[in-house]
Amino acid sequence: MRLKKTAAIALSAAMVLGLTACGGGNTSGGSGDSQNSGNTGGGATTAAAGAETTVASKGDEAGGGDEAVTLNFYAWSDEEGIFTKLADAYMANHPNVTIKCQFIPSNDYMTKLLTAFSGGGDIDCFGVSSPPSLAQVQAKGSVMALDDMIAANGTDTSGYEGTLESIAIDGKTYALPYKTSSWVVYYNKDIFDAAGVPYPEGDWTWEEYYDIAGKLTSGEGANKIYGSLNFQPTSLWWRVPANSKGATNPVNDDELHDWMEAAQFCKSLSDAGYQPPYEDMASESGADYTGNFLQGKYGMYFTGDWGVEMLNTSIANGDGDVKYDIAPLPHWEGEEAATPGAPGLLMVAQNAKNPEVAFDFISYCAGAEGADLLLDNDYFPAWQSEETIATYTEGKTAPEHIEYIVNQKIISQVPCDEYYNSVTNIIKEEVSLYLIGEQDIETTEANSKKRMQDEVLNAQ
Amino acid sequence: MSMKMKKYVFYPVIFIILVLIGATMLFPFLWMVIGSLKPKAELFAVPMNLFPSTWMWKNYGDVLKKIPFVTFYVNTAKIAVFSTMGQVITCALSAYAFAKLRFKGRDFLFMLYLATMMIPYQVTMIPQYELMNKLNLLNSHAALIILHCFSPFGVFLLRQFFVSIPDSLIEAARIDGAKDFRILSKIVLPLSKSALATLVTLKFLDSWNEFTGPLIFLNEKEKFTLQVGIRMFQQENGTEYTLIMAATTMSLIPIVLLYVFAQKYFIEGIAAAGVKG
Amino acid sequence: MTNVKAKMPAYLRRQQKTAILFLLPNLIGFLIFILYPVFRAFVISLTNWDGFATMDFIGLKNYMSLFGDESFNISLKNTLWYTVVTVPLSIVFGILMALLMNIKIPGIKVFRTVYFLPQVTSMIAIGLVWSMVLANYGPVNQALMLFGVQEPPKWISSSAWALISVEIVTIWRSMGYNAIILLAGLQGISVELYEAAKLDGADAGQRFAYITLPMLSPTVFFCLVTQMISSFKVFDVIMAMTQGGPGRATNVLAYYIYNKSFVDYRFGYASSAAFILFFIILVMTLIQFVGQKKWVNQ
Repeated sequence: MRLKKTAAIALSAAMVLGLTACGGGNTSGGSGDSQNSGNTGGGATTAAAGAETTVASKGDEAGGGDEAVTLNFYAWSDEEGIFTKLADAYMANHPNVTIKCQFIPSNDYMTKLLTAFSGGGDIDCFGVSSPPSLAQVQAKGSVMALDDMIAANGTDTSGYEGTLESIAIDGKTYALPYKTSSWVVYYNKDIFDAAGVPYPEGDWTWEEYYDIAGKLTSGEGANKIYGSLNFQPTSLWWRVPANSKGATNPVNDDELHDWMEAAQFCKSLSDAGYQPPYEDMASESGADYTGNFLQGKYGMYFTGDWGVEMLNTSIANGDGDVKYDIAPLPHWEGEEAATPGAPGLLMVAQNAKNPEVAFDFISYCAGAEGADLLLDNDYFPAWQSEETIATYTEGKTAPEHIEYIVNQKIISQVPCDEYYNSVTNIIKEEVSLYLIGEQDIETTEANSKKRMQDEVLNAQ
Repeated sequence: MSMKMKKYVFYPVIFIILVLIGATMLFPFLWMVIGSLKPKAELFAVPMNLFPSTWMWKNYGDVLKKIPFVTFYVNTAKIAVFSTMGQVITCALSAYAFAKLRFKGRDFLFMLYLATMMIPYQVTMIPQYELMNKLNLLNSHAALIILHCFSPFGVFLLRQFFVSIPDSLIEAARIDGAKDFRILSKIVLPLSKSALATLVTLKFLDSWNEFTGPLIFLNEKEKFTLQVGIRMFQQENGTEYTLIMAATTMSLIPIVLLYVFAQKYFIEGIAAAGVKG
Repeated sequence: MTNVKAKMPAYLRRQQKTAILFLLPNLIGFLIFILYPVFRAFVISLTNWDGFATMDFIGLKNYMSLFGDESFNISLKNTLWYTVVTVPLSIVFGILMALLMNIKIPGIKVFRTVYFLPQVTSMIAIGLVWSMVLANYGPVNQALMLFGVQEPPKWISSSAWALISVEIVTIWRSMGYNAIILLAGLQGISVELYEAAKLDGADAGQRFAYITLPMLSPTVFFCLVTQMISSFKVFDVIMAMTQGGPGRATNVLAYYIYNKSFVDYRFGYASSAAFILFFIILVMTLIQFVGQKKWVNQ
């Protein structure tokens, strides 16, 4: 009995205390200073109250320029390369600052970020890939308004052109854009040559896109070549033609209507046999759009500027081969040519321990100096200047018309609206029923409208 | 059934059934392993080709180059080993109490254990994060090991195996003056080797394949596990499927080995029960 | 309390003390790390927490709103239907597989290893392979057409068949898992019991009905409960195959809860959906737990 008792107690002690102690040792790296762990350790309620409680700690860092400072920076894993370089470059000029970059798998990044904010995690500054995410964290009071710091530091914002206005919330700036994107059409030159169709260069319309897709389509069964691919399963690609005429927020009835027209355009291509039926692609196996393009199965498809790197890497890697080039995104008859683009954004967390330093870092990344580094790494920086286009295209041989990426007129693709992600989920569901032919377009539009109201806009 | 019948009719029929089932189980696995050696563009080629035009052994090199695979491997192994050990030790004690000891509130407490398994982790994630934050356990492997050690799964599994051990054996031992700890270690556990082997295999598998916990609790790349690492190939604008296949293939070698090794105990389990039961 | 204690025989009191000591190592950790977060989640379900600043106590309002929420009702219905189909079938097949795996024929070890493979194959690979197998012109449909089926189902790309497709994959994947656990149960059965029965003249069917099944029943109960719990919480296979679509055809509760939490940021609401799920599983488990006293051998 005695032995048993001792054993049991020893065991439970070992299990609980031992592990706790060893864990305590492990975390010493991150944010070890106890004065802050009191602040962040308060759980949900203090995290929630973070807006007030941390204002006091802001003062800590305001004056100090030489004091040793550690910043915790979060981004998603796509951005690991560039932000490692940006942080290294910044630290080289600011020896007192240590930036700890944490990169989270992209698909799960927002889940991680949200859990960290809600559970009182330790974040100073972070990135998000599009404006709706900014709107969401702003609506929950997790990001700091930057206007005062911009004014106090005399930060130059001239390079952002209209972007800063498009991401302002209630007239305030909560983020700085560091990169932007644009959509183009990628096409297989061999398929154009075989069909005797001239390459699309310069201005063209969606109607022309449709006709060309028809001309490029050929073959049957295993030899089938489709003229077009303008959707990716379980995504919202099909809406891009609507974006090209400025319809970006489906909360507005007329813009929703434009989205429905884009869905009809997508389905008409499939119905005519110019692109694969949506239902054949309705799983993840359809998600590998570059693979089939590299196999010469598609004449054209459209995607963002990131497609260039994906194709070039694959070709260099021996993963497939194709002669390709890019063309500007088409526009609707009678509309002005434009391409949607979504800026990647950098923010300072509301309960950042060192907001001044965090701001300095993000304004470096998003400013002229950061833009040079972004350009060196084939990013399309949000900071626009005379040289941007020249530098971006400099020394690049593939695709031949690389300049289309940077010289189209860019309109903001995603609204800075906190409900955008929720409503587009609903539309995605309803439109998928339309695209597989189970629901007509009128019902799709009506259901989308009703569900947006019931489940999102009136439900909060 | 005569021996002849057994040999010429029964066994071949069973064998064919086993092969057919086995084929469906094997196919996705083979597709994954072969897929890990395909050029990227061929993975989803239509019509499906089983073998690649060129064998891309390079995919494996790319995995090692693009993520610190060895570090992730060591981290994962550390978490899985400690989780499994902790689970087996604490669960064996509790399961014995639930199965073979009488105490007040036994059924209630047992239901409480079961009840916690019924909450989707999506809603306990943030409370657990808060808790680990308070205990200063964020960004440590200990957070994950603790959660695994105390998961109710093992208690439930072992309890179910322990109850089928006849009470008469235990009563006899008590009459001989054996204490419960001794009964557990000398009678119950030896009789439950196959159950323990099952728990070890499944728990190891569980913590090896866990994704959400490591994602939430770990921040620094040096501390990530394999599953988090593998997800790094799923990027915003496209997924590197062939690399995911290669990384997964490499990652599961220890589990398959463990399972094959544990089978030895499945067989021993019968032998022991045969002698003593 | 003291009264009860006084009435308790000495040996039972001793057992109770021993039980507490045995329970303690696991119980301490369980209460802190497992039960407490569940309790917190329940408190959150009574609030309108958005994950950040807002957290007001609103009582049962979330629970009330859920009943009028069409998407919630669809996902609840899908989850129940999915559970009713997958749990019994994966256990019956699991038992059959375990019996097969228990036959001592040459090469059985190889089969046992092969049957374990779906547990270690990446969910992405499983999802991809199955969606190719079930594709509109895939092998399954070509076989069906060979047998004269004019219009074979569109499987994962139709509302009518998507959930069934996911159910097939789940049964295929979990029967091996159950078989491994049940096999351990089978091997715990004493050989002497069978020999005694043989001496008494029991045939194979009788031996199965009067020895194997009763002796296996605690393990079957375990599989039943864990399988039910995991099918109520199903998430991975849905993510890998259909992402809830087409439309809301495969939208299950865990998927709904995930979206309400991490897309809509309505944590209070999502937690209350989780607790409705919890109450359903709890009631069903309690029924089984009480019922098992009749059919489970213990």
